[in-house]
Amino acid sequence: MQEPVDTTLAAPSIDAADVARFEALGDEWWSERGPMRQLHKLNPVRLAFIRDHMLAHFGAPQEEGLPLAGRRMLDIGCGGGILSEPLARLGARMTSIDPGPGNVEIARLHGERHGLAIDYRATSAEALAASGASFDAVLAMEVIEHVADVPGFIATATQLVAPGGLLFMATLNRTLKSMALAIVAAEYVLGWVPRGTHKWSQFVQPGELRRPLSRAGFKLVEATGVTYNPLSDRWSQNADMDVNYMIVARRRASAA
Amino acid sequence: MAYNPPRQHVVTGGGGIVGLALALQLRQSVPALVDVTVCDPGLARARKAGRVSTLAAGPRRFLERLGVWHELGDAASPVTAMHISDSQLEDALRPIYLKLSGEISPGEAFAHVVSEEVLIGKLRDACARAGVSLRATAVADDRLEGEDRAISLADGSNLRADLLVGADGRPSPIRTRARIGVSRHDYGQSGLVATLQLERPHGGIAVQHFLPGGPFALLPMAGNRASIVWSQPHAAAQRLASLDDGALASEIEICFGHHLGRITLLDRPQLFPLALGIARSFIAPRLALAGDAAHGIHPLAGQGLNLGLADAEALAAGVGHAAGLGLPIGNEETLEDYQRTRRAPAVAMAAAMEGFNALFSNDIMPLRRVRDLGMGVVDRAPGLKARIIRQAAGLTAPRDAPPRQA
Repeated sequence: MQEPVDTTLAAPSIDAADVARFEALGDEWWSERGPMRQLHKLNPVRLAFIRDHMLAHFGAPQEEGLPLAGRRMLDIGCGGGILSEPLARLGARMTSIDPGPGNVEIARLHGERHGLAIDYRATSAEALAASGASFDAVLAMEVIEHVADVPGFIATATQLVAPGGLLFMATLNRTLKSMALAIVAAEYVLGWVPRGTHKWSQFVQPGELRRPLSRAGFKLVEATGVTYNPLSDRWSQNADMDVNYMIVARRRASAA
Repeated sequence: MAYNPPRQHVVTGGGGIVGLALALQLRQSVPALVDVTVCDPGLARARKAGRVSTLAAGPRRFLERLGVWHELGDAASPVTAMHISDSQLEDALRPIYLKLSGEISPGEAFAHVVSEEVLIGKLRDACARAGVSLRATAVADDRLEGEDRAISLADGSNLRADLLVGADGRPSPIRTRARIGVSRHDYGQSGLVATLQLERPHGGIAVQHFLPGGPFALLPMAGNRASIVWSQPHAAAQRLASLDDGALASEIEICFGHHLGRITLLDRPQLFPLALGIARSFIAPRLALAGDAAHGIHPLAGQGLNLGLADAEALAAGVGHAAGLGLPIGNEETLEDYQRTRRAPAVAMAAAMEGFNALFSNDIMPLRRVRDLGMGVVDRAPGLKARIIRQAAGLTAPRDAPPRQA
C-alpha cells in the first residue's frame, strides 16, 4: 500500500516498514487460505493457551459458558483482528490496537459485520500506556519479532498490565533452527508467508523476555514451545522452544 | 458493564433423527456460544408410524448422554442375539452359520430395535427444552455470503448461519445446491419393509437370512412384533408387495421358516429401491452434510442410522471445540477434521455391506463353500467373533480424529 504510515503514531517500538507490509494485506487477513494461512492455523493453539491460563488465573466467570466474560484484555498488534474476534466471542472486553490505520479499519469492519463490540484503535502501546490505561491481560502475540526496540516494548507492555494481571507473549526464537525454518523454509521454499515478513535479527530469545519481565515484577507462569507437524498440517504445544514459543507471566497483585 | 457477545448460529436443514441429535448436543454442550435452528416442514406433522431402526451400542450411548435414551421405554427393544444363516428355500435344514450374542458390557445389549417415530418425538421435545429453534419450514435456498451462509426459508423469511448442516436426507437439496456429486451404485434390488405380529416369542433374536435373491432381515420389537426388511430384485419385490396380506404372510413364513408360528401383517408393506450413494465430499465452505445426505448405504444390519448418529456426534464435537475457542465454527479446519473422521468409515461400511451382500446373494457353489468355511472359522474363534460383535455394535468405528491442540 502506498499510503504512508501516520507519523503521529511513530513510537520507538514500531518498525514502519513492517507496518506498511501488513497493511498491504488488506482483505487477505481473513482468508483462511491466503497469506495469513499459518496465523489462522496457529490460532487454535494460541487461543487454548490464553483461555486456559485466564480460567486458571481468574477462575470461571459468573456468566455460565463464557470463559472470558467481563475480562478486560488488550491485543497489541491486532492486525485484522484474527485473535481479537475469538476472544471477544468468549466474552472478553477487547481493546485492540495496531499502528496501521488500514489494519484497524479492516478489523473494525470485519468485527462489526459479525456483531462483535471490539474497541479498535490505531495507536501505539506507548501512547496507550501514557494515557494510564491498564488491563486484566495484555497480549503481544506474534508482534515482538516486528518491534524495533524490544526492551522498550516490554517495559511498555508490562505497564499496561493491571496488578495481579497476566501478560501473554508469543514470538520466534533467534536460533539457527529458526533461521532455517522460519526464514528460509517458510518464506522462500514453502512460500507460507510473504518474503520479508520476518527479519531473523529481530527474533527474540526467551531469556531476553524473562529478564526484563522479572525486573518489572512479573513471575513466569509458563513458557512453552509451539511446533508445526507437516503431516497433520497442525500446530501444537510442545517442549521445543527453538522456533516458535509462547510465555505467560503474572504481575504481582500490588503495584510493582 | 455486561457484554453479551453474539452467539454463532448453526442452521440444520432436516429435522430427522440426525439433525435433531446434532442440534440437541450443541445446545447441551455450548449453550452460551451457539444457537441452533432446525428447519423441516415435517416438524409440523406426526411421523409415519411403524418405521424402526437397529441402533448399535455406540450410538445408543450417545442418545443416553443426550438424555433421551431412558425416555424411550419399550419403544426400544434389546436385540440379545443375531443369527446369520444362508440356505436355499428348499433346504429342509437351515443351519445357522454364525450366532452373535452376548452383551457389550454387563446389562448392555449389543443392539436395540428402536421406533423412529418415538425417538424423533423425544428428540423434538428435548430440543425444544434445550432452546433449539424448531421451524416447520424448508430451507429453500442458501448461498455463501462473505464468511456466512445466507439462507432463505420456504416461508419467506431469511436466516444467516455460521454453519449450514445438510441433514436433509437422501435426495438432499442442500447437497445438490452445493454441487456436491454422489458416487452411486444401484443394487438392482428393492427392500420390502413390513411390521409383523408373531405367534411364538422371538426371544430378542435378530435374524439375517441370506437368500439367493438378497438378504432377509428380521428385527425383534416389543409386544412380540417384528420388523422385516426383505431385499429382492425389483420385479420380485414388486410381486411380493402386490400380494394381499394373507398371501404375503405365507410367503414370509416359507422364507423364514415356521419356528415363530403364524405370522400376521400389521401394516401394508412399503417398497423402496436400494441404492448406495456416498457424497464425493461431506463439506463445502460453511456447510457440512450428515446422515443420509452424506451416505445412503445398504440397509443391511441397519447401519445407516448408526453412521448418521456418529456423524452428528463428530460434527457436534468439532463445532463445540471451535466454539469453545471463539473460532468461526464453520472454519476449514473444523470441517476438514469432520470429513476426515466421518467419510472414511462411511465408505468402509458401505464397502463391507456391499461385499457381505454380494458374497451371500448368489448360488455359485465355490463362493458358497468359501463363505461357509469363513463363517465356521469365525464361529470357532471367540476373539474374532467378539470383534465382529463390537464392530456391529458400532464400538470399534474408527475414532482416530486428528489430535487437537486444546
